[in-house]
Amino acid sequence: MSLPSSSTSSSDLPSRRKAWKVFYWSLICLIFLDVLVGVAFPYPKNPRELNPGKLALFFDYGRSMEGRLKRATRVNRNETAPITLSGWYDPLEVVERPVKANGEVITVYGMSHAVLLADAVQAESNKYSVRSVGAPGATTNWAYGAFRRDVGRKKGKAVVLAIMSTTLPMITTMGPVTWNTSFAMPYTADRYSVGPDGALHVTKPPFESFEAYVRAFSSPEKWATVRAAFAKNDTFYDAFLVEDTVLDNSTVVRLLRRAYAQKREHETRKAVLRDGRIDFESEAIRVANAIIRQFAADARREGLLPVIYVINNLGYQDQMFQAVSSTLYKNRIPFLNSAQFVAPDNPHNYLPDSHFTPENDKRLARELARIIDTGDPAAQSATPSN
Amino acid sequence: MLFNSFEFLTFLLVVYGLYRVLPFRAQNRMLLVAGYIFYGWWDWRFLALMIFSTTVDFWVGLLLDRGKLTRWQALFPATFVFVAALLLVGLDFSAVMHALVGQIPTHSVISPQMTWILIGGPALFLAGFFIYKIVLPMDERIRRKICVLISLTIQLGILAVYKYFNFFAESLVESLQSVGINVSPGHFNIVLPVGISFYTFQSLSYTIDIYRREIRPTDKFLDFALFVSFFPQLVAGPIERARNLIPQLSRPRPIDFLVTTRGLFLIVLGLFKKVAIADGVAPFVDQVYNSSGNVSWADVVLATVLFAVQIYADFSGYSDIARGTARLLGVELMVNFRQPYFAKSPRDFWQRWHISLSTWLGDYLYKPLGGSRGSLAFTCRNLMLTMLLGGLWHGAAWNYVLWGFYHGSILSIHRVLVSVRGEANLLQGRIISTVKIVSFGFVTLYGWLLFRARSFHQVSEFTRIIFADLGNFTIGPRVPALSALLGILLLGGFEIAQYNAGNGSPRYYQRWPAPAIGLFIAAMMFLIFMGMSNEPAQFIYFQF
Repeated sequence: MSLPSSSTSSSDLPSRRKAWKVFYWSLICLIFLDVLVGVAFPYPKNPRELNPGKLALFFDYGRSMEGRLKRATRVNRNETAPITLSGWYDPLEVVERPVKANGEVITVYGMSHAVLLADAVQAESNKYSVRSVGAPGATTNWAYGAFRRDVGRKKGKAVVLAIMSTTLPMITTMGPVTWNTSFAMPYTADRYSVGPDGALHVTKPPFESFEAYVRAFSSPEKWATVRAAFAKNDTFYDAFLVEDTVLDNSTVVRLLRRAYAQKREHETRKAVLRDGRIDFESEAIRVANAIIRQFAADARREGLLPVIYVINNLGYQDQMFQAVSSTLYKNRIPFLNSAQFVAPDNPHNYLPDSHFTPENDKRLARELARIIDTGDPAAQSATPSN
Repeated sequence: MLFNSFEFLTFLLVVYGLYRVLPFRAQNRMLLVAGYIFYGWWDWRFLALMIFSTTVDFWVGLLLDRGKLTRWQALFPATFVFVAALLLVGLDFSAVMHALVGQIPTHSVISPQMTWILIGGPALFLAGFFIYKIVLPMDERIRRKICVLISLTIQLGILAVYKYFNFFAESLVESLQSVGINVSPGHFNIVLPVGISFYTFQSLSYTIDIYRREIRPTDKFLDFALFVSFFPQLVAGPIERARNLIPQLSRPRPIDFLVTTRGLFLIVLGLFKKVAIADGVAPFVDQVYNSSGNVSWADVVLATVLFAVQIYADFSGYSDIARGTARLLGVELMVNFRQPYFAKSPRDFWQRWHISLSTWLGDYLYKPLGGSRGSLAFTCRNLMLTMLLGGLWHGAAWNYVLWGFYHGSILSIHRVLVSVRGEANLLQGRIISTVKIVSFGFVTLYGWLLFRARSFHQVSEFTRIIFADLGNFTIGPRVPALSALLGILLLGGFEIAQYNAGNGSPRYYQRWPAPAIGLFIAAMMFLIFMGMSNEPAQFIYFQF
């Protein structure tokens, strides 16, 4: 059996003492750095202050979701952080753009990429007026839920539903509060699941409006029920990331929590779409295909042309499209596949915030207008921009 | 199993805990099992290949030295490798769990290779036995030559099949097609076993050293197996020599408190390099080198500079963690990097970069080729051959050969300059030294462009951009992580201080006062915590 210190001679004692000193100094310095960073880059207490600085944001990313919501939320709409007001189903926030003479209306549902596409279609097409229903970082289950609640959809010609590679695995969540560790947003989404018969089933979120959220959040008993609902239905729910504790005050703990969240996100994304393979049996892909099928059926029943906007993010190739292509072809659903027009491996096609460059949005907008004009089930072959 | 994963942290804690309570021999058995688990975590099947390779070199070592094997020395390794093949290749582990819960019939767990193992295993052993009987009565000189040839053929043969077959087959087919001869390409659907180049070279050094009578073989198969599979350096080096590692593994290793603390320091330093820096710059480098579209001058230059940082932080970080982990177990591994970006000449660079490989190539390739014993042209030829093969060692692709050719060329040019003016007469002095370091830095950077490029086309395109597209400063959307930017400053400062300390000793920091060392460690740990949010990437040298 080896003895840890038997080989240390008396001449080693000063070094041994120094090693312990180094250990204690390391701890002291680490605590000092923890406190120093917390003091030097504080996150503003006022929820209306929107530009806290990049470093303050960076060091705050790992705060628990409840901790961040607590700081951001006020009962009064004029005092609460604007981001807490976004994305609610009730009331549904619809952006109506000016109607063009003799034009027709289309509605786009989805995240900021979809809204940017809507802006581009509005600017590029002299025929289509575009409504958009969006939420920051919205997943496709949110977008489909929004479509179902949008009473104004019927006045249009076409409806466009967006689906995106990076948020595909989050299609099985009830809102960004469980997965979007970059921005704490309380809005919720319908949770869809696929039954053994392939039918789509919906579970409604515990609240759908800002007011209902505030009521629940300010009551520990009600909030416990909300947590339980998320824990039961949301595949991303993790108490370590969501629940507020005193450890939120430590920068190091926040960094570790952020790392944990990032690792989980990377692994989940990899499991579904990355590494040269697509897990068609994953719940995310089954739900995505079922939503697309149901969305197309719903739209057609109402005389609307359904279009799926497939967004392939930088570094993903066209795996997002491959994951849903058989459903699109089989059901003859028109689609706009970004990878056909914007090469997903060319960084210059994207802005630093991960959106397409305006030129690419315009290109996609023209193509979307063409698809709606012709009702083509599949976009014509095209060469991606390099 | 990656060093920067929670799996490895758990694994290391368990191994270290067991190591501290077990007696010496049991420690070695446990480390052997740990090495196999560590390797098998990636793919169990290739463990059988490593055990086969181990067995061959164990036998060859004994035959080279003593000319015979005892019955135990013959039968135990043979049984070991046969059982390993049966269990690891003959069974389909992915099906075992399903069979245990009754989801599939029990016979489904037997893989198609089982028949081959049952027939081939005993056949191979019989063939070995006949070869043994044939070489046994031979003259010692011939027997030794045959034995070392067997080792070289088998080890390099395994490497050739697993690493180079498809590359050479495809290259041949392309060459033939380019002159109008159409042949169907032969292609093995094989996976490159992780770390195969490292453990094969390490094992080969053992038999060659015995052949040269520089060391005596070990009688104990399990000690030798531990030498080949010692987990801290198994998959990405340092490529240890038998004369350094086997004696340490063959005797009790007292755990020294100070050595342990130095080991922990190395682990923190290695994790800092890997997690905070290498993984923090990787997305930027990848977005440029993996791009199929247009990239700018700034993209190429910045990505190449950052790749130089990435590969150093990644590989030297791995070596630091390997050395630190080995120290926790009372084993001292060789230093693999000595501040390579402070090199003033190509020769200096190779005395600082991946030292375990460059000395291996020097001892087992360059010197046997004749080294610098002949004319200048002869020396340059040897340098070129060594570097070409050194380039090819890194991977089965022509850009690695080109990289080897590039380094062979600059080594040869340097050799010519030295022979004309003499090493001592080349320009000296502090400012000149700095100029040399900076200018050789540019030479090294271009070498990294050749190394990282995905194709010859990319090499020529990026070279054109560097020289003809100057002034295009737009860069892609992904930028290096904050942990990487701060980490580069901290590591750069540490290395400059180390370099200025004179001897570049890796332990020079120990002269600092305790609060300064404490602050340095705390800063590294803080940056590790920041860097843990970066997308973890596999160590670059795993693929070699």
